[in-house]
Amino acid sequence: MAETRLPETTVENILEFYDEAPCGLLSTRPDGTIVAANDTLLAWTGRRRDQVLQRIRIQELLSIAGRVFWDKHLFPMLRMQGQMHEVALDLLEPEGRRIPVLLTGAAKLDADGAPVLFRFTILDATERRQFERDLLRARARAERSAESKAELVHMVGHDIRSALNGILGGAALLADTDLSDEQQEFLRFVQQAARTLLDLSDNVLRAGRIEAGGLVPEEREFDLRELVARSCDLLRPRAEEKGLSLTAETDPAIPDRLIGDPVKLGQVLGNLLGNAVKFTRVGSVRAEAWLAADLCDSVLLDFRVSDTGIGIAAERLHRIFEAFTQESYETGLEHGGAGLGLAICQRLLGLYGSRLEVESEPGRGTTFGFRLRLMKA
Amino acid sequence: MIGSRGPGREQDERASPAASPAALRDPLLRHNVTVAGSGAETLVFAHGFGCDQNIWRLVAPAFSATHRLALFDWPGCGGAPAEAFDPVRHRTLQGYADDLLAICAALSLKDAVFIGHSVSAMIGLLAAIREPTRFSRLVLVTPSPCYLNAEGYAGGFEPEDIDELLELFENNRLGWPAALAPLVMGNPERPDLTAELEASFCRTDPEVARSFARVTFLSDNREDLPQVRTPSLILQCAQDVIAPETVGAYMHRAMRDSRLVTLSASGHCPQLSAPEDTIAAIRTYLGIRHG
Repeated sequence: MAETRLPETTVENILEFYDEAPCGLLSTRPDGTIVAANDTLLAWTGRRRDQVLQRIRIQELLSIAGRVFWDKHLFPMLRMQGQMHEVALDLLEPEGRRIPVLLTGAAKLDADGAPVLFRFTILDATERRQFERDLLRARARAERSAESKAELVHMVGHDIRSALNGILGGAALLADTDLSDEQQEFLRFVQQAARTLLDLSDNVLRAGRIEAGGLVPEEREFDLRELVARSCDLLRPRAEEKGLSLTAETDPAIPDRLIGDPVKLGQVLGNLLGNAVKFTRVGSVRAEAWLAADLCDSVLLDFRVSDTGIGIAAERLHRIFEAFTQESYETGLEHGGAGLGLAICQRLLGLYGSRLEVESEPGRGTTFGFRLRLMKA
Repeated sequence: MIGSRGPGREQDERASPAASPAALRDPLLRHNVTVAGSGAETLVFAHGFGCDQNIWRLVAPAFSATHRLALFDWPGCGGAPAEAFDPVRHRTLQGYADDLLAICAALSLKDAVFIGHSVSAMIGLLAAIREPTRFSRLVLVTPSPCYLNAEGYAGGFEPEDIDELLELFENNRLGWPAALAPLVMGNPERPDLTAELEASFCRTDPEVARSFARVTFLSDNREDLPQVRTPSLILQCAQDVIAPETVGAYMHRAMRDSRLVTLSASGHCPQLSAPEDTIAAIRTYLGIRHG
């Protein structure tokens, strides 16, 4: 007080400020008995000072639920921690009307550290409570709307797939008929484009499923060596077509049988290998799995898929895991695809608490890696 | 890590989140068990809903010269990891009793004294029915076998009171800040910052709190009371909204070898509001001379 410098004509009346403060002020003994309250608070609660002081406990201004909350949580917190911050409660008027408030409190301790008083500031939170309710409602609306959009994508995706399968089937029948070289060439374009579109719709459907939280990793026994080899075999025809060498190596120290989700792990490896083959014109693609640590009942494995492809510029590296972006718009056009694959890999790995990492040098190649903890069978 | 070719066998720095699988399997780590004091007899202290083992801070040390003390946290409360919480097993108080018995087994307890507050009094009672040799005596602090009013029984609460209470817990520290803290901190990649913000007395994981509150306030264990063979002390407070005096009297009638003591302290947490009286009542019951 002595430090406060006011114009000489203005003198603060501390008592008046206490009573007329734009917030409720309240002091209680540790058992909750009210020993002081300002006018603002008394006006809110519709009670006279002589009805309150030494007569009622703060718990009696609360609903039954509020009293329990006080006893089970707020009182222990004040007693042990000496303070509580902006707790949302309702004060009850004698007629039963509720006033939403925010209660902040601190304990005044005696020389031995035992509390003698609890002091509270109480803010009227009617508007804030309304705002919170609006927020909750808005969130519920947004979630419903996202759900219905996901359903729409799912439905349209399936319709597109059926139509594409019709096109591919028709094209296959057409290929068996007598066609000129030129016609065969045109038909190959149609088949290629239809297949690309089919992959894309598969990916959209899969991404939608992960988004909806509908994917839970399975846990079953599988052979990791076989999985890595099979993932490579699936890509081998495409790699050979481009004259690329495709090799797999699995650390001999990795146990034969592990527990995990071979389908999802296969999807991740397949996606990474598919990208590597797609973005490499000459050279090689390589899949590796190494034992990083043996943790008794589980193992930490490092997976790597590397290529000698076109690489990714440093400034674009951080964006490649976002859905619907591909390394660049140009390569997207050249190589096709909506850039969903990496986003899907990232989300699948996220189910295991893992994530994809990437290192790349434009013109030299790219390495994708991730680390997984798998239980031993 | 990606660049290196060949097997690297370094310890993984990202591999240990809040709780390692080993910590989750060991009941002593899973429940943040603290052992102190020395003596032939062990006192096991169990905290109630909305708190953690710190609630015994003013009472437990008084017994450290005469007893071995074991304190612990329920899953997701205080220092016990939320991963220790099993949404299926912890749907009933029996699931919590399993936890308590696992702690007892890990400490090789026989004829210990169980001291449980509020809902934990019921959990201890269920554990004592299942494995009667673990505890020689039960101290039940402000217990209630059923919070809801029923035919011929005044638990003190109507269903809508419980709903409002669950909402209160949800709207307050147990719900809002945990959900909002990452947004406020703007740094979801650094859970340690958020954890620091939330870490405090009575810290409870919001998911766990919701479930624990539900099982606490909606359980009805009245039929279990006559099955208890273990002698017990029922410690109740005057003017306790949560466990009214009529409830203490009901328990005393239903439990064969029970003693009922009513402390003059008001409220639900005599270990905080009247630690001296609480210590004295437990000492008298255990037959320890007042020091």
